[in-house]
Amino acid sequence: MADGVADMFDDQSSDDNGYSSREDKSRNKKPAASSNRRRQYSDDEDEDDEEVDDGGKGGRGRHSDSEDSEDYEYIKKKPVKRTKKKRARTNNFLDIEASVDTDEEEDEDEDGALGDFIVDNEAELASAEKDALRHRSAMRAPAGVFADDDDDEALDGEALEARLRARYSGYGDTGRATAGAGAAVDGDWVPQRLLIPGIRDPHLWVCACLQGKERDIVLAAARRVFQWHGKGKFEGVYSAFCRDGLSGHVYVEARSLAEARDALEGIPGVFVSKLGLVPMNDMVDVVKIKARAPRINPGAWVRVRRGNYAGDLAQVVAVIEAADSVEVRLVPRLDYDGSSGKGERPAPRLFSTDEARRSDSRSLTSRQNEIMWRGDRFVSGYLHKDMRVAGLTLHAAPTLDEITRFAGDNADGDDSTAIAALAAAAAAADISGPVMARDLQPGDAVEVIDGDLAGVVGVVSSVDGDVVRVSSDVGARRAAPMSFAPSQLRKRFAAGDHVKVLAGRHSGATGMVLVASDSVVTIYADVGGAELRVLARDLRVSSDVSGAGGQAQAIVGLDINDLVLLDGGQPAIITRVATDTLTVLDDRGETRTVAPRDARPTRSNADRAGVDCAGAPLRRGDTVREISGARREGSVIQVTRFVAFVLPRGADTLFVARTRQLEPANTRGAALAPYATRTMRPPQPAARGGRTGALRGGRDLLVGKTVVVNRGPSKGYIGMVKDTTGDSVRVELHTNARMLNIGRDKLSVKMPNGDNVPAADFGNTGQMPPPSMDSGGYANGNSRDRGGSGSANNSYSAWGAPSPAPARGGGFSDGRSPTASGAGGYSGWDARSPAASGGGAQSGWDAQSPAATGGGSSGWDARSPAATGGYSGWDTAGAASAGAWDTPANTGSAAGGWGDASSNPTPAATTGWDTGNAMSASSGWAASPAPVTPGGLPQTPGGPFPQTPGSSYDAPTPQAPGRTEDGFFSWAVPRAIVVLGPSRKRGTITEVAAARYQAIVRYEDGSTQAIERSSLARLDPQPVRAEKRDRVIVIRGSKRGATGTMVGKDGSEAFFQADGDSAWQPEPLRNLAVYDDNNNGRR
Amino acid sequence: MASRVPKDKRQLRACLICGIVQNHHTFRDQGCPNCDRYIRMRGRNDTVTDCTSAIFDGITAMFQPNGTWVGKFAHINNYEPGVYAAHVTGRVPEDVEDALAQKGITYHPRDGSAED
Repeated sequence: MADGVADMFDDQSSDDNGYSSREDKSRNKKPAASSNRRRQYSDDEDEDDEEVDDGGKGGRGRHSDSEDSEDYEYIKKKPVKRTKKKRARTNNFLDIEASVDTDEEEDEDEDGALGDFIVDNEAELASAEKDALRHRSAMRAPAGVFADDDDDEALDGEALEARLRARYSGYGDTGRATAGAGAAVDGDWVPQRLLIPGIRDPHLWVCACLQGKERDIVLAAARRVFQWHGKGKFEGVYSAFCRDGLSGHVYVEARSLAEARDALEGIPGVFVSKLGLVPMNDMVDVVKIKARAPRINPGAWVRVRRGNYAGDLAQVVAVIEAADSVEVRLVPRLDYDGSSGKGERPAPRLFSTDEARRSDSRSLTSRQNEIMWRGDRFVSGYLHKDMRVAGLTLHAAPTLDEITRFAGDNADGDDSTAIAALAAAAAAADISGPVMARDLQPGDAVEVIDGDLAGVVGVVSSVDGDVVRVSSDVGARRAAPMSFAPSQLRKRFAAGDHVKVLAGRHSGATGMVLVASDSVVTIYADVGGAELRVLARDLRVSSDVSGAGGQAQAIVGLDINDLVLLDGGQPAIITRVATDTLTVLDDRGETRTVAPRDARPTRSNADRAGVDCAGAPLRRGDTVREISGARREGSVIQVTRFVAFVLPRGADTLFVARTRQLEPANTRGAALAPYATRTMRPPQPAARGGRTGALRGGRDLLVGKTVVVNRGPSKGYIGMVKDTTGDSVRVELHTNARMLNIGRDKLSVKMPNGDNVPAADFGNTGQMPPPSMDSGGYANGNSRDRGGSGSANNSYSAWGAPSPAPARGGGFSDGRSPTASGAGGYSGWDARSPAASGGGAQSGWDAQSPAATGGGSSGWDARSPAATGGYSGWDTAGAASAGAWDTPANTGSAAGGWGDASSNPTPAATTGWDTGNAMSASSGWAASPAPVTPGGLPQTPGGPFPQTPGSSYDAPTPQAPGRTEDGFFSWAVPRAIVVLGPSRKRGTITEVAAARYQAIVRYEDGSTQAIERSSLARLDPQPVRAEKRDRVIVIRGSKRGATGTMVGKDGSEAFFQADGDSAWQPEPLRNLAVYDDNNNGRR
Repeated sequence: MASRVPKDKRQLRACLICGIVQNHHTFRDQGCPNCDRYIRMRGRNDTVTDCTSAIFDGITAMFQPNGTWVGKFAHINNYEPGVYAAHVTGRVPEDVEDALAQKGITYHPRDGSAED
């Protein structure tokens, strides 16, 4: 065959090239015609495509362009001749050609006989066209290419067959139309699966391009190729295409890369450098790819893109075949009387016949239930309009609000039903999309809403692509799982289900189902307590509990009533959290909607305080009243240094007030601020620093303390402070769990070190800092040491300024000098140093007491014990203060932060302060192991524990607070009694493994508690300070482990009689712990 | 031959029978190059609207019906060179389908529904 083929080609080429004399006549005609045609081509390129040159096309047998009868004639005759000529070439392939030939000639005869019988005519025309095509390629193809082609065919049986099929489709079937529509004939409609590309087929090249430009590029390439096709270029380019599902790519079917590149090069948006070959295996996939055609069903929601109704929601009423337009219904925006100004469109409102009649009654007509007015059609108030799909946004995904609005007046009275119906219709229309299949999960309860089994209730057993298997128990008999399309199903919920919203405006919210009507479910949100109406398909049963904010909550951790900082640090309170926006009330009283990223959450909401008109701290939850204006009253929801967000009683909208414009609604504490006059305050530069931070220490420091009643009928009783109100303290007695209200002045606080401190000196509602802060350590040089590092603490001046000590007059200047280089802020503290230095030699508490009495306010001395560097007794007390002087947050910091702090005070201090206060660690504060309030108390546990030379304790090196956690293990000895835990329960240490940082404590009630490093900060065990006649054990120092009986004390020095020794031995009180003699947890 | 390529990017429509893509006015003025002899669209705006669709996907410019595999795969290799759509949404009206059937042509919708 190959030889034959070669011969044939020889014949052929000589035939083609040399124009054998056999067909001279027609040949001679041909070139003329073809050159004519070529000219036509090039002409056409320049012409508008509407201009058609019938003659030119007819000459090529392109009957379709023009069907003039002349053309018909022309075509009818010419092709025959050409066919013959062609056959001369193709004859060489197969014998069958001959019969075809005759056949066709017969056809033509019949044709003639039958006249203009259209079908035959068409067959005729078709074959003519095919001939024309064949001819064209023969004419154009260079001999080499042509030979190649045929060689391929000869070797590739499949291709040959396909080609022959294509070429001779319709053969022997004269009654059937073929050719032009040949592909439409069944017999020739080769299934695509049989059309896999072969190696003889042109290659497919893929080229990257700009997304969205694919069509333009293909068209541009097509123009180019068609333009040059007749001129010897792009002979090897067969097609170019793009697929909407393959954005950013165009494909060219061409023999060679060079041709493909030529076809595309220079077209804007094409990246010719990214031209590559599509593997043959992928060709079918590439060609088959189909963009997911958006399907519109009646009932679906769409949105209008342009025009008067741009953006409006519309519902599809009917899809008009040919699928490029739909009938939608809209809420009309009609301007009945022309009152709307130019450029503004009337509000959407259902059609009003009355108004229409009033303004233009002549154009108002009605038929059946339709009303026509001014050319528009209205059905039950809605405007029905045919709109092109291109002008609509499909899958509008309306919110329930919109649907409600759409239902509008039409649904008044019975709106929920109407809405449900609308939503159901929409859902039924929409869920055919992938949305539903994706949203269904095995285990979901569903109801069949469509098909024969409508109404069946079941549970999804599996979801496989678009097939959902549902198992149901119909009639108490469990049927095999049935398969449904997602569109046939609806999720079912029962009242009481806890659900999560998966999509829509409330996405992320969770709640409980209140009402599950058809497809709209009302849920009661977990947070905020709002009733949300959500489409059932957006819900899923879930045990999650989310914040009100749904996603916003999840993303930024914000919630209603949280305090946030807006741009520039402007404080605001969140009033509403939507999916992607926050509604906030800022400090100017303006309600704004901001993006979550624009609202910075404040570090801690817990411990803020402002300063009210009397200078008293104002905290969250306080009941306040405006001192002027409307004198509104309410409780403080959030407070910053200057403004409070107040919720009036019985109202649900907050108002903003300057804290200075507020007074406590109950007048407690009004008399407690002798220094906090207004005249004094403004000059404080540090009012913005840490000063208020200190104030916001929160609740009375006395709360939670163990106190002893000094006077009155309950004298001698020990109890725990539960609450304080002004001068009255509520104490829960240890003895019989009675609650007593006792005057503050009748109490003294039992300090962990065993001292008793008058309760009056102990933070009463957080007033001024006690001068005692300045005890020994500060005065005696610690502060000076750290003056540099702790410089930035102007907050201290805040303290200083209002701080009471009259004796401080000189102190100020004194104090300033050592630290002036730093911040000058120290002044306040140092100001007190004179007083402090006086007491520096004593124990911290002693030192402060005199000062405190002078100052009267003791808010700070609660912390000061730790801060007082001289107070060596406090190295453990420091830990105690972490827990006992608790602000809730401090435990964590105490555990983690202190160690760092001890090595490098400043950063630690900064950590404590980075909520924006100008106050970075003041060393003085940093040194203080007082409670760490992340919110901003300056008591960052920083530097090494301040030890004062003047310390009355002769303890070796006081431990740095950073090691307080280890501290317990440094002193813990078996059978020492400790208090621990949040409720300060007593227990006996039963086992200690200090090396492993483990210990076990047995509570008095017999339960045990393991103490580990990790729980140490939380439990904060402290030795129970011994009292006279207590059995004690020495927990520190050289006599550690010795037991004995305490016989008395002098200040911080205790005397105990060691067992088996009659002599009294002095021992620092802090070195002693109560000893559990019977080892049963009882003292 | 530039007229095979629609000049205007707007108002492009694809023939529901053969899938050729042309401007609306081209269909109206010249008909469908492949199908006009069965279904005459030329000059009949309604027929054009019925038998063509503006929603189509994946345009293919076929330069040489002979030898193109892509064209063969898309069943357009027996048609005129030109720009075709791979998928055309919609179907011809039933009367048109009937008319085609009468002429012995099986209508193959190009909306992808009859994918083999």
